[in-house]
Amino acid sequence: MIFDYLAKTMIIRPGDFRRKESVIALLLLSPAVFLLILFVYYPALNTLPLSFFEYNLKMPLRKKFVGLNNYVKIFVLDKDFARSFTNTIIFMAVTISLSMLVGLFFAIILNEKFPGRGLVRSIVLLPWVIPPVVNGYMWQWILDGQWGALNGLLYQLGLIKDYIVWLANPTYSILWCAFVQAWRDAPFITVILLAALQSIPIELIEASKVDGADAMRRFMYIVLPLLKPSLTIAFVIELINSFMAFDIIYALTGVDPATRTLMMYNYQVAFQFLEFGYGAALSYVLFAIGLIFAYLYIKVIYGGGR
Amino acid sequence: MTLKKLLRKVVLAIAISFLILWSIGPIMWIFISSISPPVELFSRPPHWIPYNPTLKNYIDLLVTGRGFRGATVVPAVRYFRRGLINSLIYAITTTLIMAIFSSVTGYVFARYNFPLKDVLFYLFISVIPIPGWAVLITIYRIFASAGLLNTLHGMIILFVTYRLPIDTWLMKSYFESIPKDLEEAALIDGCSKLEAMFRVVMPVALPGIAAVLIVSFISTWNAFLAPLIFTFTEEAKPLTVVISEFIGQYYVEWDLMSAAAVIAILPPLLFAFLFQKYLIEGLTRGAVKY
Repeated sequence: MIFDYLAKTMIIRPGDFRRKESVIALLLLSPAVFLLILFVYYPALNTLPLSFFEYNLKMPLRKKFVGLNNYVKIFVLDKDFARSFTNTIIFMAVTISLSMLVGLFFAIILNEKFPGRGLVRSIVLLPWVIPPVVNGYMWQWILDGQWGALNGLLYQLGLIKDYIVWLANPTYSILWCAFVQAWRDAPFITVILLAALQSIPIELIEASKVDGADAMRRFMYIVLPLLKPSLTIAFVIELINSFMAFDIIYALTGVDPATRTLMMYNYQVAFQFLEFGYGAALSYVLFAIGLIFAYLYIKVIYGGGR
Repeated sequence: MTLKKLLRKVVLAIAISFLILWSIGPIMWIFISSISPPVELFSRPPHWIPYNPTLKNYIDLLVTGRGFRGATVVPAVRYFRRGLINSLIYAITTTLIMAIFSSVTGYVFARYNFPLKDVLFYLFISVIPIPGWAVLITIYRIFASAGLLNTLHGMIILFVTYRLPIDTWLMKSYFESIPKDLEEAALIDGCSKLEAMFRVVMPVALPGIAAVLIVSFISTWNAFLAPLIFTFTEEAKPLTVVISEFIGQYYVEWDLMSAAAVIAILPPLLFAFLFQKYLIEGLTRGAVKY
């Protein structure tokens, strides 16, 4: 085995300790670094030159250098891009606020002691663990305009007289997409916030009770400030999650102008229209937005949420 | 005071019921749909609890095969079964590779001193929050010229590469939480660092490895975007992509679809109940503890 071989060459002798250790460490990391360079960093850089070309995979021979035209098109001419951008903002705003609210609410409940809490903690995770694309189809079935469970329920409760085709309405369909995405992401927020809640020393809460603070004040002035670092981390992670959301929207509505976020639009341009040149330029714009999030992410994680 | 306590209990009970219904209700419905006969399912309102539950949808899906999207009977079954097998191959292979791979990389970052350590670590974790398209467009071209499109091994390479950053981070932070004294004793006895790792540290790190195994399995099982782009035939399509093709342009066979969905949901669902602790560990450690 290669590990035995490596292990035998690694016996530490005084003197060559540091140099040998460095060589071995780099050797052990090299397969991983090789994979990351070949399948992440090299492709990421290689897409840049492609973004200066007009290049459709259906007509590869008509590859033409167009300079910055693709980028000009994105920011000035392309109405679909503008619409997708707006959609992305709406989608992210609704997803983030809803998932954070629900996530916080569930974390507070799960922090209470009650019989069967362990089981309920597993149940809460379910929306997060099932395949997002299947999740999307599941909700498409629930929201179905002809036989859907939501219509059936509302009808039985007397809240609607006729079945409603929820996903056909362009105003509501993006909100439904955001709702389902939030349904999926909330458990993640719950887990992060629950860990933070459990680390709050019980004495602190007891002391404030003695001082006569009611539950609302305890939450506002003691719990919430202590939760702030975790809330920041959850927020940044959710920022990234909702920006990169694809599976659920794809499953719920397919590529539809009303729900087409930037991720969906980039998919459509590159892999449905096969416009690889324009798709590359688009992907670089998304990449730039992603870099801002990446910066926030690393900063927040290393700063412990501060 | 007792009234207040009672009130508190009632409010908590209502909140817990809401939480359970919210989380499990939609999944329950897809399960009920999958065992309902069409007459009961396609009615207004539907039967919430079927009078005549049936396994016909599962039998259709896995054995006899009602065709979907115009496919003739037998290929439709073969298609679904093959997708199931492919998904298992992807998830199990990726998971096993990651268990060893991320233990080594995580251990190196946790315990070795070497030049460029920080730079290399950033090289790993910077991958996590970056949207995929910029990378996928060129990977498509690399895969096309290397003959890796629509192959099992091509997909596994991608899955492994994209699990690497998170799993390495997870294992690194796990190893860092284990006291160094443990290995130092072994090192004094003449073990090499790697030997010390495999003989002394790994057994202690098993919970961390379990977390990596479970999170890697679920994320590979759930993967959709990359296989949607890089696989074209039943040879390589995983279950998620096969299921996405149940959606016809004008008509969806929701009874069959819900049985397929239940099968896809089942493994992650079981994991959530059986390995909740490790799942949460895998979910939070990389992201929150550093």
